[in-house]
Formats: sequence, C-alpha cells, structure tokens
Amino acid sequence: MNDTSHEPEEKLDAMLRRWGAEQAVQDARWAARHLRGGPGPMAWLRTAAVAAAAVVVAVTATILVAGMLHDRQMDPARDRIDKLTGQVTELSGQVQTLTDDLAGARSQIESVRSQMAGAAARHQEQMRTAETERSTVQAALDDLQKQLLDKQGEHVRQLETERAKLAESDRKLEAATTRLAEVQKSVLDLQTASGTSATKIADMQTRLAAAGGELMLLNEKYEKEVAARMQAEQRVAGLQTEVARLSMRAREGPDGIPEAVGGVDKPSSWQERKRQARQAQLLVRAGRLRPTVGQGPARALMDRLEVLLTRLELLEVNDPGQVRSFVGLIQGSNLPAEIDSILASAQLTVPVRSWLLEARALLAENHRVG
Amino acid sequence: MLAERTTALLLVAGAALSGCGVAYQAKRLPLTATPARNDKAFDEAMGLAMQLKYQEASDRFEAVFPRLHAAGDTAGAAEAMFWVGYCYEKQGRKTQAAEWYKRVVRAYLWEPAASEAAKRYARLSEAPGNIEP
Repeated sequence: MNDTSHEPEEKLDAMLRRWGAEQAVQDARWAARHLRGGPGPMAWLRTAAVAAAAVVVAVTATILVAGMLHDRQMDPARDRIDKLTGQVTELSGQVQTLTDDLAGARSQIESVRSQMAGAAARHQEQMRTAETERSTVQAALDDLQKQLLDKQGEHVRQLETERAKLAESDRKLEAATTRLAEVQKSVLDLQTASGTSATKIADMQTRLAAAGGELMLLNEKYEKEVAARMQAEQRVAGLQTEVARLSMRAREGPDGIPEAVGGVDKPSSWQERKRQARQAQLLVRAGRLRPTVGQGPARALMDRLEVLLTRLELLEVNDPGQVRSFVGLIQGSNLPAEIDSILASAQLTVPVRSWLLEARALLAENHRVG
Repeated sequence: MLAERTTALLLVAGAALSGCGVAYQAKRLPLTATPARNDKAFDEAMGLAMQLKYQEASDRFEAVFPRLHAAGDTAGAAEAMFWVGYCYEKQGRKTQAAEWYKRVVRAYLWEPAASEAAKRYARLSEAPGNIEP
C-alpha cells in the first residue's frame, strides 16, 4: 500500500526532474545565445539561472507538498485513479504488445509475401522450363510416333511375307504328308511282300531239306545198286577165276579138283558189312544211345566201336592196304572178349545191348583180308 | 540260327552229291584205280583214336593230311582232316570240330570223308549251343 501510494510521487518526481532538466537545457541554450554578445551578461545569466532553478525547485516542492496533502484528503478517488491508471497502463502495455505483434505479423506477412513472390517467380520459371521441355518431348514423341508408324508398316510388310511363306510351307507340308502316306503304304506293301518272300524262303528251305533227305536216300539207293553191281562183277570175276581154275584142273585130271567152290575169298565181304552197318544205322544209333550209358566202361567201349564203325564207313574196300590196316586195328583191340565182358557184367538197356551185339557181329567175326 | 541251319543243309546236300560222286567214281573207275594207302603214321593215329587218346590222335592226323594231299591221296587227306574234326568233337571242342568238318567239305567235296563230315556237322549244328557263332 505504501509502495502504491509512493508511485505517483516518484513519477511526479521524475517528471519534475525531466522538466527541470529540459528547462535547464533550454535556459542554457538561451544563455548561450546571449553569451555570444559579451562577457558581462554571462555572469548575470548564471545567477539568473541559479535563481530560476531555485524557484523551480521551490515551486516543485510546493506542488509536491500540496499534492501530498491533497492525496491525503482525496484517498478513495486516488485509488480509483491509480487503478484506472494501472489499467490504462496495462492496456497500454497490451496495446503495445498487440501493436508489436501486429508489427511482427505484418513483417511476417511481408516475408511470406516476398517468399510467395519468389516462389511465383520460380514457378513461372519452372513453367517456362517445363513448357520448353514439353515442346522438346512433344517433338521427340512426334518423331517416335513417326518411327513407330514406319516400323509398324515394315512389320506389317514382313508379316505379310511370313504369312505367304507359311502358306507355302503348309502347302509343302501337305504335299509331304501325302507323300509320307504313299511311302507308308509302299512300306506296308513291301512288308507284305517281304512276309510273302520270307514264307517262300521258308518253303524253299523246307523243300531243300526234303530234297536233301531225298537226295541222301537216292544216294544210298545208288550206292546199293553200285555195290550190288560191284559184288556181281566180283562174283563174275571169281566165277571166271574158278572156271579157269576148274578148267585147268580138268586139264590136269580128276585129282586136282578142289572140294569146295566157295573157298574163294570174297573181297566184297567188307563192302557187305559196310552196307549192313549203314542199313542198321549203327553210327546214328550210337549218337543217340551214348548219353544213356553214363561214363563207365560201356561208354568207352561204345566210343571205340564208333571209331571202328566210322573207319569202316570211310574204308576203301578195294585198297588192300587199307583193309589190312583196318583188320589189324580190330585184331589188336581184343574187342570180342571186351564186348562179351560188358554184356555180361554191365546193366545195359536193351537198345544198347542190341547195338553192341550188332557191332560185334559186324566187326569181330570172321576177319579176312579182301 | 537260320544261317547255321542253311549251312548244314548245304553241307548235307554237298555230302549227298559227294556220295553220288564217289559212287560215280566207283562205277566208272577200274577197281584197281584207287591208289593204295600204306601210311604207317595214319595207322598209328587211328590206333591212338581207338585208345581214345583224342588229343594225340588229332595231332598226328593234322601232321599226316598235308603229306597225303601232297602225295595225291586226296581221299586219305580228306579222311585225316575228318579224323581231326572227329577227335575235337569227342573232346567236346564242338566249334573246332565243326570248323574242321567244314574244311573237309570245302576242300574235298567229292571224297567219302566229306559226306561223313557233313553228316556230323549237321548233327552238331542241330544241338543248340554246340557251335559258337
């Protein structure tokens, strides 16, 4: 309360000082103007100034005292005035603040406006640049479109050409397909013909086999006829010899006649045995019977007899040397006793036994050199 | 298989023809025309075959047949070759046997040994697996 009550006094004091100072300055200026007239007045002026200052001070003090006295008498109104003054001051501060804010806003507006102006300028520049670029791009697009149109035309022409080639290929393919069908039909015909040829070949082979067998039979028949003729010739020769001998004996007298006409050696005997061996098919049967006799002595005997029968098959009965060698081969083998031993001891099947007996009869009896 | 059978058939046919040829020769030639064979080595080889010593016998026959052929005894040479094949067959060496039988038929078609060789070749080829391809 005291501070509030002293504020007007201080303000008043300050106002007075300011006023006094200004007054003093004015006085000083005035005195300075008059001092340019000479040194006498200067001293007067100083005195007057001091006197005036003293008067001012006295007046001021009087006013202050009178104010203080008045304030004591007018206290409620003073408070109200103070409040109003404070409000005015506050409002003035607010006004000042608002004024400052307004100034700041105004400056901001100016700044924004300048920025917008700069932005607008830049935008216009960019617009100009964009327009230039757009023109350039449009020109390039026009060129590109023209090139594309040209290429499209070229492609269309190429497609037309390819389509023509494709049509040609289709035509060739169709012709080739037709040709392939013809070739397949030809192949089928050839296969059919080949099958027919294979059948014919098989038939010819069958006929050839049959002819081979027939040829062998004819050969055997021919050989028999030849052998019979040879035998007849030999008999004729033997009879001629015998007739000659009898004639000679007859010429010599009755005592010289031998008792047996059949005593003549028969060179055809091995030929006959050969024929018998062929007729009995001893070699063929040997091949069939061999697996049934196992690996024992009977098998070895059959092998040896097969050697002899084969040699007999190849024997040239008109070659005394060969016949002599063959007989020697038989005589050196002691076959009769061996065959008898096997027949007596071994367990043989009837066909094997029969084969051994036939071989024995052919090879091991009554050997004579023809 | 077909080739083997065809070969066998041809050999049989050849053998039959050779048989005819032998008969023809026997009919046409005098009885004394056949050259006498007096070959001790041949007889020894036959003796070995009789003893079932097939390997030794085939060696002997192989040594004999060139000499008989050179001497003009084609029948003897053919028979010696035939016996070589025979000995191989008995030893179980069917392929070699078949080869020798074929050689006899090719070299001495008109000899009796060719006929016998053809028959044996046919029997060999009839049994499957006897002759290696």
